[in-house]
Amino acid sequence: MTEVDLNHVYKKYDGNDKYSVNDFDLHIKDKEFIVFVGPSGCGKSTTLRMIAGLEDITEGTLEIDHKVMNDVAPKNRDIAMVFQNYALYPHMTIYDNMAFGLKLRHYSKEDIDKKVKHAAEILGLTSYLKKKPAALSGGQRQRVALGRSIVRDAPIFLMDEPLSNLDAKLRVSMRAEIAKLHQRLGTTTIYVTHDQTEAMTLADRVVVMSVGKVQQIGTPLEVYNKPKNMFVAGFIGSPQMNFFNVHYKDGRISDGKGLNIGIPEGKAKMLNEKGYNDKDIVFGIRPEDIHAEEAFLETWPDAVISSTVVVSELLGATIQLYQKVDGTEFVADVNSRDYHKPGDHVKMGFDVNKAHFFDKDTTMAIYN
Amino acid sequence: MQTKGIKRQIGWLYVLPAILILLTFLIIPFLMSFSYSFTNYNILTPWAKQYVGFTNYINTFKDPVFLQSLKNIAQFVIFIMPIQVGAALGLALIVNKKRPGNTFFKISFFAPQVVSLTVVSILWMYILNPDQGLLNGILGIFHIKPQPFLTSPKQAMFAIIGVSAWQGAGYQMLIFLAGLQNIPDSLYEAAELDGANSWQRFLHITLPMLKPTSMMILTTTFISAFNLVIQPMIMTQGGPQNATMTPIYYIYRTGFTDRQLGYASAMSVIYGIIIIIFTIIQRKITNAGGDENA
Amino acid sequence: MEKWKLGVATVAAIAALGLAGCSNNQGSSNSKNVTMWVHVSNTDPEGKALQKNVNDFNKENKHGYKAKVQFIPRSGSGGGYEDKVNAALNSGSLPDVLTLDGPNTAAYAHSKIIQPIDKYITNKKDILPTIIKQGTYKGKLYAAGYSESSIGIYYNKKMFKEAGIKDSEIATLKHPWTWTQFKDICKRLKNHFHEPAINMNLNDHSEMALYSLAPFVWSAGGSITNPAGTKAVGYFNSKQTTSAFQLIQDMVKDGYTTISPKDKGFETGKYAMMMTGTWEVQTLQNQYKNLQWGVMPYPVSPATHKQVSPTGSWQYAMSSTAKNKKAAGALINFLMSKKCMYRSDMANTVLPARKSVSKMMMPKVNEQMRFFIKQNQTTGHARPVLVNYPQVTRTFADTVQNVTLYKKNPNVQKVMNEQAKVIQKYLQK
Repeated sequence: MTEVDLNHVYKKYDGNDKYSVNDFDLHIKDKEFIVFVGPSGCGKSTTLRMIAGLEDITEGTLEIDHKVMNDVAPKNRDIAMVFQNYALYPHMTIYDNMAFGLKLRHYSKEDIDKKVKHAAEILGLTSYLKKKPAALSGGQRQRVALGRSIVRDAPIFLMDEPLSNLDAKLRVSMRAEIAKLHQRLGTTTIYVTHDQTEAMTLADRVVVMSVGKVQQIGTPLEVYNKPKNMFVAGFIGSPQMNFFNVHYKDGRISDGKGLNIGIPEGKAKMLNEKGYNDKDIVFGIRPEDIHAEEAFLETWPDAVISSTVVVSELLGATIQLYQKVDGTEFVADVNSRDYHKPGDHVKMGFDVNKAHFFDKDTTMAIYN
Repeated sequence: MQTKGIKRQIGWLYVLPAILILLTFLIIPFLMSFSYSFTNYNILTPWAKQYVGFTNYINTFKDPVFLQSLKNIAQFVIFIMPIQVGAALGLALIVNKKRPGNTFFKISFFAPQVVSLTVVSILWMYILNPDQGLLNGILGIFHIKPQPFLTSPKQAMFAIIGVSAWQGAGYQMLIFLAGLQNIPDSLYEAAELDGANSWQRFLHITLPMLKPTSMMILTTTFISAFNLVIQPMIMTQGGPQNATMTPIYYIYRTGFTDRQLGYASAMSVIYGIIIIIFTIIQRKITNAGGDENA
Repeated sequence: MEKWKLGVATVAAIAALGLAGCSNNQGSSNSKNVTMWVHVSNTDPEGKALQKNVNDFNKENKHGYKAKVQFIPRSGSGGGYEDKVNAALNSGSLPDVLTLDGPNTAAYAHSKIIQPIDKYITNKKDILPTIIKQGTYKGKLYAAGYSESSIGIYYNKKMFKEAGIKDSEIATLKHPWTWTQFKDICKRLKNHFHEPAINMNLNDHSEMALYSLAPFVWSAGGSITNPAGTKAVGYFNSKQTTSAFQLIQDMVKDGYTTISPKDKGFETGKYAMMMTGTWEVQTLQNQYKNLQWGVMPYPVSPATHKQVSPTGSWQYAMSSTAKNKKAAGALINFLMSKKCMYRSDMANTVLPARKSVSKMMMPKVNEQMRFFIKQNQTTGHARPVLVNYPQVTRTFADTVQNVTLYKKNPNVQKVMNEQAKVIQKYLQK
């Protein structure tokens, strides 16, 4: 059982007057795969390093298995970490790289050999054991870094943007490897990334961060379907959610340019109850919730608009259409059957059941 | 359009000054020296020199002062390498951590390099004076007897080794510093998480990562150590009892003070061959080490 | 196409400039011209006096000879000047007349770099015998010394009084100390001040060692070589020579002197006595005005009571390649004249090389200089004239250093025997 608790943790560096991490509060369950995600400088790596002990905690406590760890040295926290640039010891063989931590802890030779060979087998590194890091490719080095952590049998894995240095294809396959590894070993894992795709695919729960503050904690589905504010809504999901500054009145939203659509009764009722009638709000809709099929357009005529394609990006199965109507711009992600080129006039239907609304001033989402 | 021929001529023109300088100051004097080594050339009677075959070479091997100087330079080379390079590494480690006053210490440690070796030698003669010198004064505070230093055949060479290391460590400290700063912090962090303490991090990360830098510094120290001449010339004149006589100093003295240029030339040829042999050996060793890292 | 021509022209120009700088030919096609090199700077008092002397020569000589001087200040121990002379040897461009340090006489004469000048020097009887001896090789006079030198034992009057040494106990030329009395005075000074009594420059392993300490050897009746300069064994390790070195070892062993004296230790009142040359008079008068001091002569061997002091300095010589020997000889003789010598010796406050000049100087100089002139003329002893002087003087200095390491080399006679063999090697050439 390994649980990690961050209780109102703050981090301020000497010489700064702003906090780098502000009131980070999280309870991590045993075997959970938690992902800290956010843009550069949001404080996710700093938080991770505080858990590792590589940074001091300014305020608040860190508990591992309900023991306060603030002042415990990194080597005594029994944590394994995978670094962004792998941090493999260049002058040691792969075998020695993986065996290093065990040697320091005075494991017997046979024990070390067993563990290293076992980890190497899991990661497919057996034939590389005698080589040095310089002789390996990026993906192989990443696996060695993982191997170093596995060998330690540590109850907590920390991973600091481990896939950032790999090319796109490798990233995809390594993602799968990490997922498989977690299924197999079940170790509590805390993973940091700026890539929301990694967060969505790997996490049991996601912690979205921005400018040192936690924006939302939830499962991938939760942050996707019910983003708490515009930042989370815009950060999760690719391409990014479309935002429109509109005026809501009596069940209709319009932005005075090309957008004028009606919204479902239930949502209208909610907005009225919360006092947003005849007010300016922000209307959000994901590109994948904008449709071009005839069937949809006929079913919801009140949510159809006519627009002109500005840029079209064919991805294979889908095509992303960047469009413009009057002054308003938005993106739709549709089946590549509905192929259009720039300049085409099209009709798009908004699935207003999937609409999101945000307060214009606080950027908080408006829900029931 | 320039033809290949003209291009080659221009090329030769570019290297001509360098070739002239090399010829005039290196190659021709070397050949002249080699030819003088077979004569009894006395500076005051250049026209009277006669061919004496291998006499000078045979005498070199029988010359007790020359043989002593070989022993002395061996002692110097063997001790200067660990002491000076070790000191340089130690200073670099100290100065590498972010501490207040770091810049001041960096400058202080490097400062001896800026002063000429002659001035350093004279300065240390005062410090090492057995009766009045600063060093004995400091030792006295710790109730250590005053030491003879340069006036003792046993201690003189070690005193010179110390002074030389004191002067040379500063420059090598800077090179080590560059090497240390090239070691990524993440390696130390990974080692820390693996369970390594400071000493283990030094042993397993710092030292191996510094290997190419260390090799280079050890090599340059090794080679330049063979040239020791200024410190003994100024501080001890090779004494006491030839305990600090070095081959270069002896060759210089024999050729210019004693005026026996032929004999001195033979000694310089022999010493040159010795240095070449050691250079080859040392290169083989460092190349073997270098390949490991390839 | 033009670039490479320009390149060749540039390289050729640089080469020409370089070669022009190297060659230094003073074409003396006119035989009335005499060229001279000196080892001093023309801004020194000695250099200025020399220039005046040469100007007088050019004005006054009846043959129309014209002398030109080149000033080549030496570095430290004659390095720069001797290097230039050595280089000129190889290119055959020595001047007609040059200055020459005493110890180099034999080597230069033997190598036929300089030629005898006996017949050009007038009034030789007036020249001090030590000067004549210094410049004589194999019976011929090769160089004429124009100044003399000496060493005295400077003493601190106040410290002597404090230690209870009476004025009547001070050594004088008439009543010098024996070595025994010398050591006794040292003992009293050491016991009173708990410091070495005298600085004998034992840290100076240069020519100063032989120059300042050989008088002890000579006073004891010993010598470095035989008169002919061909044997050292039996002379350098004779009982008499050994007794002088025994004195030096005893002085160190008993703590009366030190092998590592503090710089300016005498001037700052640390050591009661110091053995050094005439130049110290100027230093004390200019920089240490508050020090009350006097000078004493060398102590003498108790066995012989012979008074000996060191001598020797720079000389004028004529190179073998001098074109007009009469002109060169006339220049040297003129510079050696009473008037010229008086001018240059007074300018530099050095001791005179002529008896007549010393008579002229005595009333003009202070008490201490008078003492030095007298000591020099009555007890002066020339250094040996040897071809391999550099090696011999170094061996002498090594011997001094060896005997001062009394723990390692307690048997002085043994050291002398070994070192005599070393010197012998240098004499067989």
